[in-house]
Amino acid sequence: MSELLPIWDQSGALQRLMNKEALLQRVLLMFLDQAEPRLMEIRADINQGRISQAKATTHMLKGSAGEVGAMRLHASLGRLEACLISEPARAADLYNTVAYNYQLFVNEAKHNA
Amino acid sequence: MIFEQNAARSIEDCRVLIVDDQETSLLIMATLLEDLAQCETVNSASDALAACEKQLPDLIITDVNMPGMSGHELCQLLRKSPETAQLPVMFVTASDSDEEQEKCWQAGGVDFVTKPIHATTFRNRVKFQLSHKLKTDLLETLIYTDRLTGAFNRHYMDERLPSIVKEAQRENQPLAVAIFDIDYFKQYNDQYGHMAGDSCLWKLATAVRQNLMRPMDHLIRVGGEEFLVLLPRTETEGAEVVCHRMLETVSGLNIAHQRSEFGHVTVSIGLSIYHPAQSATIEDVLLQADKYLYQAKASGRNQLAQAD
Repeated sequence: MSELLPIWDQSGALQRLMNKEALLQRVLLMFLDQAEPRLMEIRADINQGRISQAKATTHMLKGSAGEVGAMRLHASLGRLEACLISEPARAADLYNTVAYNYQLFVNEAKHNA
Repeated sequence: MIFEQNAARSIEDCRVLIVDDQETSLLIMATLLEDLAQCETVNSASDALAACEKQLPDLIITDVNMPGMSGHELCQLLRKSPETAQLPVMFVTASDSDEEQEKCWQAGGVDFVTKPIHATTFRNRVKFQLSHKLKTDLLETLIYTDRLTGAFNRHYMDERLPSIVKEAQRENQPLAVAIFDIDYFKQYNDQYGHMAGDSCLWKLATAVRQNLMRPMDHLIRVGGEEFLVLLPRTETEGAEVVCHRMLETVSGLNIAHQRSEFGHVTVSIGLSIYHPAQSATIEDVLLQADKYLYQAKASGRNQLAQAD
């Protein structure tokens, strides 16, 4: 389902921020700075069974992804978050989708920078 | 005087405290509001409580899901204290599900916005809350402030004293009560006229108020020239310092008074301390402070009287 969502809804993100391009750029840079370390934390926490920790970090990253308009990533983080609550055994699988969608977003953001 | 202050206060003068553990969210919210109001950002609910201790904001905007204390818990805690009970709290939530909405209202929030934030909606909601806050503040000022002196009035004391005492009981902290009145004030009015008398009251109350260092300290006009000072979490030593400072401040105004042996306006003060653990009620303590005030007068005025 998330394949129907844009990888990066840049215009939507801009509109939500009153077309403040400089603000979106700053937020984007902050997001890209923190996203990889957070993804690594999530993976480690899932592997080590630290489910509530993984959920907290996933929730945080999901919020930032939404702010920059990374729609597919945002959706897959949402599914991972829900899975960590109801079916933690599937979390490792869903994490791979998150990582993939993150890479798609990074490529798109670099391309449009 | 005090009304000009409140009338002049606009949305731009309002303080907004933004609470979120995510730096990107803090950046977005602070930037979207920077031309609207004065914004301060903190990363956690505990930092928000510390910020409120220093200076009360006009509005708190808080994320819900944060490590440690959540936004809901922060709001509930604020509602428990008289100082912060009326602070408007707006939530920023990840979901607008029925369940989430219920939680926000039950926690005591006044509004919520969902993430990712939409700037126009966010700004308009904040503007509305700040405008409402300004109107409420003005109304409270009209109801609770003595128009002449800017001190709180008797109505305020009747409303607030019970909760101040309850807070002292809950914290098991002393509450210092000082009653003072202007020496030879009738003679001052007779000598200089009532307008001068009003001006004297205003100058004195303003100076004393400026000397009360903490937001929790209260100056209340309880009679024509009689005032009450409430000092929460203050024991005898601290209260003595404040009272002596009041005596010096009033003398230092050097308001000429030909019919006083001191040559200028002075006050007499009676001091008593309410201790929650002791049997004396706040009414007993107020009576005691009043008795000490008379003692100060009988002992020559321009002094403090208290328990030995």
